[in-house]
Amino acid sequence: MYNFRFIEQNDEGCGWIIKTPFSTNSHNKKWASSLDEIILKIQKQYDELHHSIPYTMVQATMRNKKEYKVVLFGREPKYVAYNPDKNFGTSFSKHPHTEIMEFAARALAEFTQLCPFAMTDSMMRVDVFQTKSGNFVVNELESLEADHYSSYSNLKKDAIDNQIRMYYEAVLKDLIDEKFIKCKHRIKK
Amino acid sequence: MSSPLERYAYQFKRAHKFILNHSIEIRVFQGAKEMGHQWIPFRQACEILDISSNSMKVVYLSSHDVNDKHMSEEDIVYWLCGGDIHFILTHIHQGICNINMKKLYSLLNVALSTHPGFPHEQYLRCPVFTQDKYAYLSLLMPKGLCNQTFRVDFKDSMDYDAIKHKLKL
Repeated sequence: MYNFRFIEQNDEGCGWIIKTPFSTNSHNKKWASSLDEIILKIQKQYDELHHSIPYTMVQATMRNKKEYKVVLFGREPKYVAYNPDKNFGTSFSKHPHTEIMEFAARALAEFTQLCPFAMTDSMMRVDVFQTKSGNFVVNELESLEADHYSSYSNLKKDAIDNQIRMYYEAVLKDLIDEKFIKCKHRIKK
Repeated sequence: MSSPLERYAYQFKRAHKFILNHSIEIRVFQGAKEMGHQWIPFRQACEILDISSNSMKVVYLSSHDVNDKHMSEEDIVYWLCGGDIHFILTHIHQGICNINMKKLYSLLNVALSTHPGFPHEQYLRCPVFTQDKYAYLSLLMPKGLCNQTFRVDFKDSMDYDAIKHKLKL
């Protein structure tokens, strides 16, 4: 249903990305400029990967390569992460990035509502692009392997790491309590 | 003949799989060895809870170990099940060679959903946890919240003309 006239309706004028699920850091990503080339790249991915993954995906390459990576904890937006090595494209948001952070929170809330088994209560990162028509779109959601460097100081990253630590502390306590604490009483408080 | 209290204690211990000197083993899949964004906070949480005490121990498995020992999907899942509690701190397939994602995640769902740990039950199917990207993008697509994405399923026999036709429809 959403693929109707896919090429025509989603063209940013910069070619196409053929990218795989179950991957991070642009692994297996291929670029194509035409429909014929898209098919060739899909064939290549199929030959290399069909034994390990069930599908691949085609997306438009964004005209603006700038991507904002919004860090959230407990589904609340905290800050925009910064990686100087991946700082391409034209800025479309300025500190304090209120609009981008609100969008990321809205997208994550929508995902959480639609996916009853979503694990979004710890640290999450929502990566946001802007299309040529000016809309914000989610490029990726990341959780366990999310880089979350802060653009202004380490304090924000440290605060998130501290929250992750408290989250794990609570999870571990619950698991140990549930399984053993009633009969062992050995955990130091 | 044992007293009712002794019989109760015996039954209680059996029910909790509790034997003398039994230590709680937490088996952790950590991904890259002593790296990753979750590893330090997890270690700190263990230290605060004094999990390295005599009564508990944490055992780690890295993706390096998996590759070195040529562990299969089954080996990874059964290793996690072998402890009292499992913990997964990364996308479990990352950095592992020759792994079938579909098989790995269906085994995880079967074996770990009722095993105490993190994640467990239905959360093992979270598409952000599994990095099943189309699964979460397809939920955001109808409201225009993400990049429009065209999915191409890998089948035993691929019809590339049909894919081409669908892309330009």
